[in-house]
Amino acid sequence: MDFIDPHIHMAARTTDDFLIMAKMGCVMVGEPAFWMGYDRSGTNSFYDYFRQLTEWEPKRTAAHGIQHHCWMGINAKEAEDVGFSREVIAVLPEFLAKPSVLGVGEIGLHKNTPNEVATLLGLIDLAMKTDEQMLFHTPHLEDKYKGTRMILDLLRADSRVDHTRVCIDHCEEHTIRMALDEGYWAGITMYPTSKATPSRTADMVEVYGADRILINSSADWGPSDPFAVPACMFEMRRRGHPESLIRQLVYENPLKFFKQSRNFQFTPRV
Amino acid sequence: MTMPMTASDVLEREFLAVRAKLIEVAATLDRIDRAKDPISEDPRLDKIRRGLELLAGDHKDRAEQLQLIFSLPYEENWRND
Repeated sequence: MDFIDPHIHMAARTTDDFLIMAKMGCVMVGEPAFWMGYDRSGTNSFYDYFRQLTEWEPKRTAAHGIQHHCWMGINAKEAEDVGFSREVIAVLPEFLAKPSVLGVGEIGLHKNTPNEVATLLGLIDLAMKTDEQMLFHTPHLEDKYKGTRMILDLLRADSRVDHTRVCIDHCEEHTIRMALDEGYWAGITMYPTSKATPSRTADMVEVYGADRILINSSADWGPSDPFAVPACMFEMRRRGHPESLIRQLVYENPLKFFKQSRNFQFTPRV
Repeated sequence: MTMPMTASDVLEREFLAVRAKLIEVAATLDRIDRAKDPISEDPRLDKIRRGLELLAGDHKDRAEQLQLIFSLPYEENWRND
């Protein structure tokens, strides 16, 4: 079955990973801008990274028959310096106009600080002024519940935000309901030691249904699994779920969400 | 959405995995007890104890409740701080 990984940081992965993903049936990836494991020293570093995501990565994935889209933004881990963040936000419009860009992301909170909130408000404002979709990173571990609620507070306070064009990502058992109840898409990320697992992801689908759920690997330079989406597909098959449900989760849902971006283009396999 | 498997099927499939995870937790707590410089009070150990108490109960949403034990509290008026 063809599948889409709607959130994966392929710039941090090898071409061998692409090859195996393609053999498993991956036809498209969504790659949000994120933190590369160290803080960048200047706006030009971000500029080059954004060029990598919009110019180089699509070519690398296309070599394996995988279509590539990306999101432009500043990850919360680099959002503490509000002045620096403003400089980076100023270069984003140039990249938001590129043909493979889906919107502003991944943006959000990390340690839930006032400076992170200030940068996030600037990014949300940019997205609203340019009519972009948004992809939200929610914090890790003990900060997730508080940070997710803070993000939802900020979005609820902005009447310009169309909830159906927003994904609240990295949801877990204690945050998924609040995202879905307010009309957002809910992303579930499967990691080896944090976030969710393929089994718990299948559990959440059984509890909340598959509508507006996006499952992803968010694989990056740290402990992560670029094959997490097919692992969840396998788990759901083992439990006896129908192929139609699995296809909705790993193919139709990402397409439905991505299609809301004006730059989105996809050629299905024939 | 219905769960296609029966409760008996799930237990049959997961029993050994759950057993192994519980033993791993038990062995880790033993290891902490055996280690040098004993810990008298640590909020992390308290959260682990509360989590184990939760698992022993009959809640229907154990995973969600366990997540909340390991979460910082949210304050409604955070924007005024």
